[in-house]
Amino acid sequence: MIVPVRGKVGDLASIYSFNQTGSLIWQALESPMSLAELITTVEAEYAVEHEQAVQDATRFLNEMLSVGLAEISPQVAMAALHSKAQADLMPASD
Amino acid sequence: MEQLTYGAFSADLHHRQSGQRAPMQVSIEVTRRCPLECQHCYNNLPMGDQDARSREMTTEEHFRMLDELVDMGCFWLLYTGGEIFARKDFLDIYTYAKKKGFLITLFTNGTLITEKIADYLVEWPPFDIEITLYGRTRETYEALTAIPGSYDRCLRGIKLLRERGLPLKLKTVATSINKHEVVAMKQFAEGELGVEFKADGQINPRIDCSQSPLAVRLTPEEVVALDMSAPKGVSEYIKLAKQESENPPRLATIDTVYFCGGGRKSFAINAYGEMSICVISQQETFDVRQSGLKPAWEHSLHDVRARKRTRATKCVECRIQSLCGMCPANGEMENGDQESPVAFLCHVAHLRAAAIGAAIPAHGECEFCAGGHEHESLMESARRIRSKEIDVESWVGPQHVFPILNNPGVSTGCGSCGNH
Repeated sequence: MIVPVRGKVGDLASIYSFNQTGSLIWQALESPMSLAELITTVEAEYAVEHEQAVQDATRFLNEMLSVGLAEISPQVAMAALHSKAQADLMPASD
Repeated sequence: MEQLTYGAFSADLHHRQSGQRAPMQVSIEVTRRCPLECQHCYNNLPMGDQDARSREMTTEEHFRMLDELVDMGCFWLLYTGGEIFARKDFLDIYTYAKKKGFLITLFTNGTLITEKIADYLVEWPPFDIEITLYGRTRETYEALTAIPGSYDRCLRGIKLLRERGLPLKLKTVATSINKHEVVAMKQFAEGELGVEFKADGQINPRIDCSQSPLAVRLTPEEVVALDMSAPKGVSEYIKLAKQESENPPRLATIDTVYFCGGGRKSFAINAYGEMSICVISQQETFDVRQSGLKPAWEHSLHDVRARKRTRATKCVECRIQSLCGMCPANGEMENGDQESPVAFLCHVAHLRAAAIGAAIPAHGECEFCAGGHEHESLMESARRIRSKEIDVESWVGPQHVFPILNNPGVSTGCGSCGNH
């Protein structure tokens, strides 16, 4: 059960409950972690297929991002923008 | 991930906990000191009261108590006073509680709220902040609070919170001093600020046994006229009265003195680290500074809550109980006896029932019921309220600014202790 306590983090009129995988990810995110590390954590804890771990971790992270319970660090966000800009500048191969 | 609205979460938790004795809500009085000197207040002490200050729980004691409340499964906290911001360390205590995940309501008079405090509350928002407004003009507000400049400071506090979009509600205690401004206060809150507002005519004697606050209490007719001016409140009373009339008397099915959630779902901690059933019930308190909360909750308060009624008063068979403010704490404060019906509250409840046209089934010897010596005058009052002969819109201010001096005949002691 997660209760948002700080302004601009989550919806203060809501309370969130997580399943086991969600709880594991939430606890793991006590320190900043990459998506790849999170996927490895989920795989190690539940002995699931890699594809399943990717799907579960990505979906949960997206949900947390959408309600403001997690955020992407500015460096990662900048790097992602940079890659996208480079990709956009690449001439279409055909 | 499941996202629950607060309302859905609260309903679910209450449902799951029903039938169990578990403290879900706790009221914590951080101080009884207050910068205002309101005549109607049940517990305020001067800001400079060094004895009171030295007896208050320390910051660390508050932290330890919050740790324990988490273990006990408490979810809702109310911080009240005195004036909560009279303590310099209040935001430290509050932040500690916030980080523990409690849903916190703050009761304040708003006069000590600064920009810095308001900004801090944006960063760490409470679930609710309720400011009590004592008047809509400086003259009336300060006639009740007795502190020059307090009206402007209160308005500044309201403005600071409102302009930051914090979850503010306003309320007032209607008294003989400010009753004529209740309508204007409601308009200010709901019309100008767009925040919820409620007015309450309930005034208790002081917890030190002084009955001086009763000098500014509204008459039963005024309390009920105030009720009738709020359509939502009236429809709720009609609903409650109907439900109650269709069932056996609720108290007849309960054999304990206490019949509320106090001691079952909630408790209070006073400024000096003592646990009690609620903030106003202070005759039986249990020190928790040394022993911690759990022993007091599991043994001392359990025993108070489980204590059996010693006699069947007229309240037991009463079927307008949902319209009545009577509770053991009120009996304790006003009569010095938890089980003695409070005549004022009984009068208000019967008048309320008569004013909304609810039946008042016989419930033993009662001066306000048919055949009782007050019944005829009660029915006449109900008629005057319904016909708007008594109407809050037409109330005017008092002729004097020192109401206690102009209100002879009000007892200043309950007689239950020598501490008047």
